[in-house]
Amino acid sequence: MAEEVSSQMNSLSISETNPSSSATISLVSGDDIVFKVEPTIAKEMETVQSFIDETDGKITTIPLPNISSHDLPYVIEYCEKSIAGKITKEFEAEFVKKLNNEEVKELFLAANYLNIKKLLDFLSQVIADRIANKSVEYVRRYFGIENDFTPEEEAKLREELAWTFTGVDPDDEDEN
Amino acid sequence: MGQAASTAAVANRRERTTAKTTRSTSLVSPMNATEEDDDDIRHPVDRGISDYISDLPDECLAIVFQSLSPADRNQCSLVCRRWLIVEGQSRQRLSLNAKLDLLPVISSLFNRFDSVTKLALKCDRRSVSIRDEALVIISERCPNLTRLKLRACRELTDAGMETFARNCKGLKKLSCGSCTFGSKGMNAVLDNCAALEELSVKRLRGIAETAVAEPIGPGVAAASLKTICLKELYNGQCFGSLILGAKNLKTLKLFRCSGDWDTLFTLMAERVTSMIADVHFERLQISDIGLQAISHCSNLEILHLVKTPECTDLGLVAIAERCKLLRKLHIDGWKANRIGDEGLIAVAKFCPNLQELVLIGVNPTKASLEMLASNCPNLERLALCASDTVGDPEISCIAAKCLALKKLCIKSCPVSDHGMEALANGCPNLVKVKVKKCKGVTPEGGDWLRLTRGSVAVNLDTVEAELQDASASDGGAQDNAIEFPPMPVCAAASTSGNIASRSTVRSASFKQRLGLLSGRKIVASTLRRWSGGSTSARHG
Repeated sequence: MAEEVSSQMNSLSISETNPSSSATISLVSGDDIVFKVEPTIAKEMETVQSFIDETDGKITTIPLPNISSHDLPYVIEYCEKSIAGKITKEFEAEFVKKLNNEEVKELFLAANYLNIKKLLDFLSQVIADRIANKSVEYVRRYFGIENDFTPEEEAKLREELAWTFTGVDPDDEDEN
Repeated sequence: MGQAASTAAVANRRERTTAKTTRSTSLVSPMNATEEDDDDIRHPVDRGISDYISDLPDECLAIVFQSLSPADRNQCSLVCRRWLIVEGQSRQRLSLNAKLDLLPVISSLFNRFDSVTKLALKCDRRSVSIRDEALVIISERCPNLTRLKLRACRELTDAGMETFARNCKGLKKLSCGSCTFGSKGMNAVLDNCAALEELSVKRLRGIAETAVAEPIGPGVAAASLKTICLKELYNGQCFGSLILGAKNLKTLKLFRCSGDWDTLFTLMAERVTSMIADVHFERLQISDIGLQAISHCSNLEILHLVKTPECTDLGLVAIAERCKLLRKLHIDGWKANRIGDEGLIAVAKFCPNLQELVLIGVNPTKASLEMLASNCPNLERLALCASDTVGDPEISCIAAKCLALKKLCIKSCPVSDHGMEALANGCPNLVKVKVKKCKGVTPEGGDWLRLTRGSVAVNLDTVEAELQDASASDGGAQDNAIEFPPMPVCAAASTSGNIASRSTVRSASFKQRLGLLSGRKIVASTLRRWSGGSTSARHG
C-alpha cells in the first residue's frame, strides 16, 4: 500500500516537473532586470541549476542579486555558445576584446558565483594573461589593491624569492 | 512561498561563496555603482571600498595563479598579504637554489610554500650545496612530497637521505644527478617509499667509492616502480637486484653505464616474466647475449640501441622473433656494420606493428628496406642517417612501397635529385620530408619536390654540407628527435654531445625570449622589476 502511494507520488512529481523543466527560466539581475533563458542555459550555471533541482523544478524565477544586467548578457552569451559547442579560440578572442579590465573582473566574479566552470577557467586565463610579465606595482594598480607590507617585509620576501628558480625546468619531464 | 525560499537559498549561497563581498551592496543601486566604479579603479583604498579581486574566494585566486609562470607567481605573491598566503598555499611545484646558505631561509620559505609536492633542489658545480640538515628540515616540512629532484647536492649523505625517505614515504618520483650519497641512501628510499614509480639516477658518486658496490634494492619500491633510468654510473650493476625485483617495470633506460650488462639481463630473462615495454640502451657494454635475454620481454614495444657496437644481427633477429609487438626501433650502429640487412629483414618478417624506424650509421640495402616497406603497413616514420648504402634505388623503393609513411628524414646519405623525384611520385601519405647533408641533392631537387607535392613540408639543407658533415652521425639522433615530436625518449637516448647541443638550443631560445621581453617592455615598472629580480638574485 505504502509502495503504491509513493509510486503515485513519483509519477505525480514527474508529471509536474516535466512541463516546468521545458519552460523558460527567468534570471533576475541585481538591478531587477529579468532575462528569460532556456533551461539548457540554466544547466550551464551550476548555482542556478542546483537551485532548480532543489525545488524539483517548481521555481523558475531566480534572483541573482550579485550580477548586474550589464554582465548577465555576457554570461548568457557564453553559455549559449558553450551549449552549441561553439567555443572556439576565435570566439573567445572576440568575446574578451569587448571587455575592459573591470568587466573581466566582474564577469569572473559572476562566473564564480554562478559556478560556470568553463567561463571561470577561461576568464582566469584572461586575467592571468593581462598580468603576466607585469611588475608588482602594475598588478596592484590593476586590481586596486593596497600594499599592506612594510618595506622591510617586502624586502625580506623578495630576498626569499631569490632562492627560487623561476625558469621553466627543461629537464623536468623529458630528460632522465 | 517557493519564491521566498529561492531568494533565501541563492542569497545563502552568495554569502557562502563570496563571504568577503562588500561590492554586492553597490549593485543595489546601479547608478551609484557605476559612479563608484570609475573612482574605484584609481582610489579603491581611499574610498574604503574593497578591491574586486579580494572579493574572489581564495580558490579562484589560486586558479588565476595556476595560469601564471613561476616568475609571475613570484610577483603576485608580493602584491599583498592575502595574495602572499593564497599564492604560497596553492604552489605545488617549487625549485630552489640548493646552496649551503639556503639553510637559514628554509623555515620561512616552507612556511610560505606549505603545500609543495614537487620539489627541485639544484646546486651548481662551483658552489657548496645544502647539507643533510637542510634536507631533513625540508622533509619534515613537506611530508606530502611526491617528486624530488636533486642536482649536484654533493654535501648530502646517506644519513640525510635515510631521514628524508622516512619522512616522505609518499614519494613517487626521485631524480638525482651528480650527488655523492651512496647505496645506503638509495636503499633507504627504496625501503620506505612504497609508491615510488620513477627512479632516475645520474652520476651517483657514492656507489662507486667502495671496491665492491653494495647492492641496491629491491625494497618495497620494487613493486611500484615503473621506470628506471640510470646514466653515467661506474657500477650501475649494483642496481641489479632492483631491476630484477621490479616486477612491474615498464621502462628501462641505461645510458653510458660502464661494465658488463649481459649477465644481469640473462638473470632477468631466467627469473622474470617481464612487463617491460620500453628499453633504451646507449653506449652500453651489451652483446647479443644480452639482446637474446631482452628478447624474452615479449611485451617490448620500443627499443633503442644506440652505439652498442657489440650487438649484431644475431641479437636483433632474436628480438624480432620474440618481440612481435615492437612499434619503435632506433638503432645507431656507430658504423660498426654489425647490424644490417639480416636483422632488419627479421624485423620486417616478425614485427608487423612497426611504426617508427630510425637507423643511424647502419647500412641497409634495398633487400631489407623493401621488405620493411611491404611487411610493415603501419610504418609512418622513417629516418635514415649516415648510411653509405641508402641511395636513389633505396629511396625509390621506399617511395613506391611505404604507403603509410608520413615523415621521412634522410641525412648524410648518397641520395640525389633522382631520389627526390621518386619521393615526389610516391608515398601518398607523406607529410614531411627532411633532407640534410646529402650532397647529391641540389636546391632545385628540393624545389621540385616542393612544387610537385604542395602538401608536403620539405626541409632541405644543402649548404655547407662538407663543413657539417663531420658531426653527421652524432647529430643524427638529435635531428630525429626534432623530427618526431611524439617521442621525447629519442632525445634522451642521444649522446652526451647531443645533450650539450640541446642545452645550447635551450639557452638560445632563452636569449630570444629575453630579447623579446626587452623589446616589448621598456615600461619603467617592468625594468624596475627586472632589476629588482637580478639584484636579489645576486644576493642569493
